[in-house]
Amino acid sequence: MSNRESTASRITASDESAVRATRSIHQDTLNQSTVDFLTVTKLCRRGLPPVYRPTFWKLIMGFYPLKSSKWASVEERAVSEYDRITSSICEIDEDGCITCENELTRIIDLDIPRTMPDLVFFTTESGDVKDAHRESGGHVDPEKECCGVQHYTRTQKALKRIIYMIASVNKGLGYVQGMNEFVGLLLYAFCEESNEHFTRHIEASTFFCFQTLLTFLGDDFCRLLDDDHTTGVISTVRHFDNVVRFFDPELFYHLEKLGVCAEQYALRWIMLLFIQEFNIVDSLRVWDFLLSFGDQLRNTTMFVAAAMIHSLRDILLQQDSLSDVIPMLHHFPEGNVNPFLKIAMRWILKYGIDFTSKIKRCTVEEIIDLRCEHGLEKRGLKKAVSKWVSTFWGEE
Amino acid sequence: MAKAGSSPGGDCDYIFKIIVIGDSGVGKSSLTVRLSEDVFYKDYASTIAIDFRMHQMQYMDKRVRLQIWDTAGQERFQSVATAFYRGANGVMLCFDLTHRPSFQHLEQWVERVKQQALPGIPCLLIGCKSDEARDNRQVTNDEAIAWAKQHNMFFIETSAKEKENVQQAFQQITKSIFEDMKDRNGKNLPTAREGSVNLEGQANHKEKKSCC
Repeated sequence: MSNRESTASRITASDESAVRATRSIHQDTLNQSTVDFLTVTKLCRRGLPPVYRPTFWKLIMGFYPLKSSKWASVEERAVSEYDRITSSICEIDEDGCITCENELTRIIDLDIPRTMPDLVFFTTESGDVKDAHRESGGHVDPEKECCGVQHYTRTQKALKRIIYMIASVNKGLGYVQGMNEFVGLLLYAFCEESNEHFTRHIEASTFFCFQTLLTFLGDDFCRLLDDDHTTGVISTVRHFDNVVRFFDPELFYHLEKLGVCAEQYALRWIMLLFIQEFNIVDSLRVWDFLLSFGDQLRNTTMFVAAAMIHSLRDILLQQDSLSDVIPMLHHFPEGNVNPFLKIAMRWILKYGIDFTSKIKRCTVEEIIDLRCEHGLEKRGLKKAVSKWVSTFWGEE
Repeated sequence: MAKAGSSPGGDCDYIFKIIVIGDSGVGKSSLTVRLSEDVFYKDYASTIAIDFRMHQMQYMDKRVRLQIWDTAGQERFQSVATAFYRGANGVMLCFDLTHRPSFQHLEQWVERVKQQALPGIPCLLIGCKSDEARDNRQVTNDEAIAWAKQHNMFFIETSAKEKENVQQAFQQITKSIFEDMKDRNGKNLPTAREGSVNLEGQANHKEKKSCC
């Protein structure tokens, strides 16, 4: 993760004229008085230049209406609404610090310095108290120093404020680890619009866009649902099992034989929408793809996760121990993310975006039947495979 | 527990699976990263669900590979993490010497181990951040030792930052696992682990017998 930002130079280094040409497509799209949503979706799916990302994402997430003349007033309203919410929840001092201290601020404070700690965006700002903090070397202990936040950078303070509001507004969820990463990524993406640091507008739109994301992802943050096997994280990994079993059964059974199961790697991929798997540039690129499918975010994630592991199949099939496989999956090879996004896109076009949710509750036999129906499996093999499979799955 | 003679990557005699548990932010990842990569990060991204690290070590004349499952501390992820308890050979139970509540929560962690892991699984109690504890200690050595004794485990204070006792902690849990293995064989309980779902897969079941 240490080179999260290193690939940023890749973009500026690319062919100037090509960049200008793409820019004009993006600019043209946004210049319409009523933006064409389908074009927005398509461009987003292909990957956005950072400077256009904020506007495109806000359109995709429904924060902006399609009429471009209304965007400014939407921003204004969001800021005043956010201010209203903020002041009803807690007091914020002139340094932007939340003044109260409670269990919620304690657990959030634990994660603020741990949110994307390798990004300069969060950890430094020139010539302020932060430098002193860095030299001190110790982490901010909220109990030790009553105002631990004074050591935060401006972006970290904003991160804390947004997370605190999110956790307070969504009382049933509270703060769940992972939320910090989402908010962090959104903040980072939205700040690319302006060269200056974040503004109140950016903070407010991050808050509302994350609220939108929560409506797609909320279940993953809710522990209560885990007790029911049809919801919650355990069902998510079993769901993923089925997706891999359908698209790449050979790989699935190979991994299973080695004792590798989805809990060990895919849960983080899926729950965090791949944020911890790549450098920031690649993460944002993957998010362009995911977000372009709107409320089908979860289904898209399943396709992408399965495509990711499928893209490593050749090397994974050569491995014969868990100790070799897991590190590869925990540290996905650096490089181009487009190949597996293409695989995911191919599958989505062929099977339909809701295909993965259709196979969520399929039995092993039903998956094999489906593969046969799609011509991926010959009928004759079916019996042998299903017999072998059941010896593994009998006890679960 | 795998005797890995026949397993490929067979550069070791034993593979032990160790789970590292404890409250969020006590320093579990720092401890395991120090062991496996010999580095220390002041701020390490919080663990989501689970992380995996490996360490190869020598114990007596045996080559041992530790598969370390570094679990997320936050309550949210416990339904996932407990799935890892079942196949484990040893538990490292961590708390933060500079944060008393993490010590008080140990009972809850032990309860989870009792419910999910192999009965009598070797556990080691670890007080993390002994460097910071020099100025800001909230749990005394005596009370930690007393707690550990009461729960039939050893206690060790570590500093991932200053590299203090990290190797020793993993040596200790390895020793406990070997002793536990011997005990189980002595009491003729070779099948104690048969019922557990083994995260390393079926191969271990067979291999286990050869070492028991």
